[in-house]
Amino acid sequence: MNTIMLEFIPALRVEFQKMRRTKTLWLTIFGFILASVIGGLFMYILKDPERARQLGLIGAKAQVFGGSADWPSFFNFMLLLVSVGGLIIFGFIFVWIFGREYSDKTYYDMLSLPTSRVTIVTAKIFTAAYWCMALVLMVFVLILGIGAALQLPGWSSAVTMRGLALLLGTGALTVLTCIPFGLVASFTRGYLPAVGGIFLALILGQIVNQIGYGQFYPWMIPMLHSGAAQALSGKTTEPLGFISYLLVLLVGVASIIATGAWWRYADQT
Amino acid sequence: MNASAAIEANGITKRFGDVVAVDGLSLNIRKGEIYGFLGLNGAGKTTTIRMVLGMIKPSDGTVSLFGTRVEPGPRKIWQRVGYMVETPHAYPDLTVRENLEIVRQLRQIPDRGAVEKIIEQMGLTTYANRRARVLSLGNAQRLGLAKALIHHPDLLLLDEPANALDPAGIVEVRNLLRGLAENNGVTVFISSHILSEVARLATRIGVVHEGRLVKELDANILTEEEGQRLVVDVRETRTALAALAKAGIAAKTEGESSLVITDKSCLQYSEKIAVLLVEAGCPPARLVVEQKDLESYFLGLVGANAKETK
Repeated sequence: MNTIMLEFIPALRVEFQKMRRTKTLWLTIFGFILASVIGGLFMYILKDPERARQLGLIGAKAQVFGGSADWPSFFNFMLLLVSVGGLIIFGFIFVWIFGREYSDKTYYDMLSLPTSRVTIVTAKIFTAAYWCMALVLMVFVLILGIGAALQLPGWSSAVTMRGLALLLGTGALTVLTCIPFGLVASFTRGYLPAVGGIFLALILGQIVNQIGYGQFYPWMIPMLHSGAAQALSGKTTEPLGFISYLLVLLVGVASIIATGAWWRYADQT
Repeated sequence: MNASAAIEANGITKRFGDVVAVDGLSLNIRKGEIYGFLGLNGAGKTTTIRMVLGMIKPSDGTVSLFGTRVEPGPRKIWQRVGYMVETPHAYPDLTVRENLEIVRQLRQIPDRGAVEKIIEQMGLTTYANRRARVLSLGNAQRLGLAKALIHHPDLLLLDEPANALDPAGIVEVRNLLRGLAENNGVTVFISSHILSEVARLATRIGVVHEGRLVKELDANILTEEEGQRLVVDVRETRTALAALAKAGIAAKTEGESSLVITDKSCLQYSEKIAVLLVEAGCPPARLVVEQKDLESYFLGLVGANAKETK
């Protein structure tokens, strides 16, 4: 095993240990379970139009997002939750992983060690990405369980595989766009400004998408990839091009480099 | 670079905008020394410690530890260094044992028993499974020291290590640090505002004021000549001062009726001063050789320096 791995594996173990013991982990799990249950509830309502009419507003909204109660609609609805909710929850995971070191003042203990600060930053990003993607997989399992329990029509392996691919793709793109929030949390030494940044990115995304440039705004691209942005705006758009995916990749890679450089070179007062 | 020095700082300066926190400070801490770093709040102690630990980059000057320059790149040197900066902090949701296990992993200590050993050494066995958030200040301090000592460092940098410890804990930490220096050759760099603690523990003391090292002295000097002064109480200070000046002895007034003489020859032969004053018609009411303690020495030094800078 080379030196980098000898450093990286213990650093990763440390980050996983911290992740396992935090209440934030359970909050994020609870958040996505709740979202999946709400998705299931919409499907349950949509299965019976008479009941949907009786419920009035809730029924009307369910029509807008889901259309009908079947497997493709359920996947689409959950993609909407993962892409919009993902930006908030995944963003918070990155903010928490970096910001907690400053709010708990434990960052002092990570600065003058045989393990390099860049290795620690890499382990943190890897842990956050793992955490987010594990949540996406949990949502996929919940979709299968809830959909089966509701006996939704229209199941096929093709629909399931398409749904899984879109969920994983949307999750991965969202993770890449959330890495900058870890940098902001490091730079501002805490949570609040970085959490503000998440909501700013979300709000700006809606504006940029409305004026027709959503495909060039990295924080909108996961939503466009999942189809959620189209569902929210009611507009049909052209499929995303290579440039859009490249932009997301650039944001992710540049943020990793910048976070590593900031931890390595900036004054840690 | 001097490889025999544990810490060598050459003219380090740190500027934060217009504020100069540390100004051309040089240190040379020998291996095995216990160096007490004294200064008022905001004097530049913590900034200096952070520069020594590579947490902040000096605006000017360099720092070397055991002959290795402190820079962002090389990490190996930190295997030999343990530290505790400001109030110790730990992951609140993790237990004492888990917090130490994290340090063991990041310090790449292969001995899995290192955590249990340091828990026992620092008297934390009862609290090993307790979450850090519920620890008393004293035990949090012990945990901070345990993190600094777990890898048996050659150099320890401690910022206020006796803070929040009870009297028994202070004695325990003092004995521990003294033992590490005397038996294991560990260099200890300790900043503290508890002057008596530094006086008891340190072998050398540096006084920092307004970012500058204003004085370095061997701790034992305080029990020797430099820490002594002759205090003479007389009724007529003016006449006594004139008589002393005529004999070529410099003296300063202190209060309404006291004269202070620091001339070493006078300290050795204080009876001659008594005779001189009796002959001048102002016999001393009291004549005593006082031992300056670190506190009065420190305040005298810092006070004098503060006046000079004004």
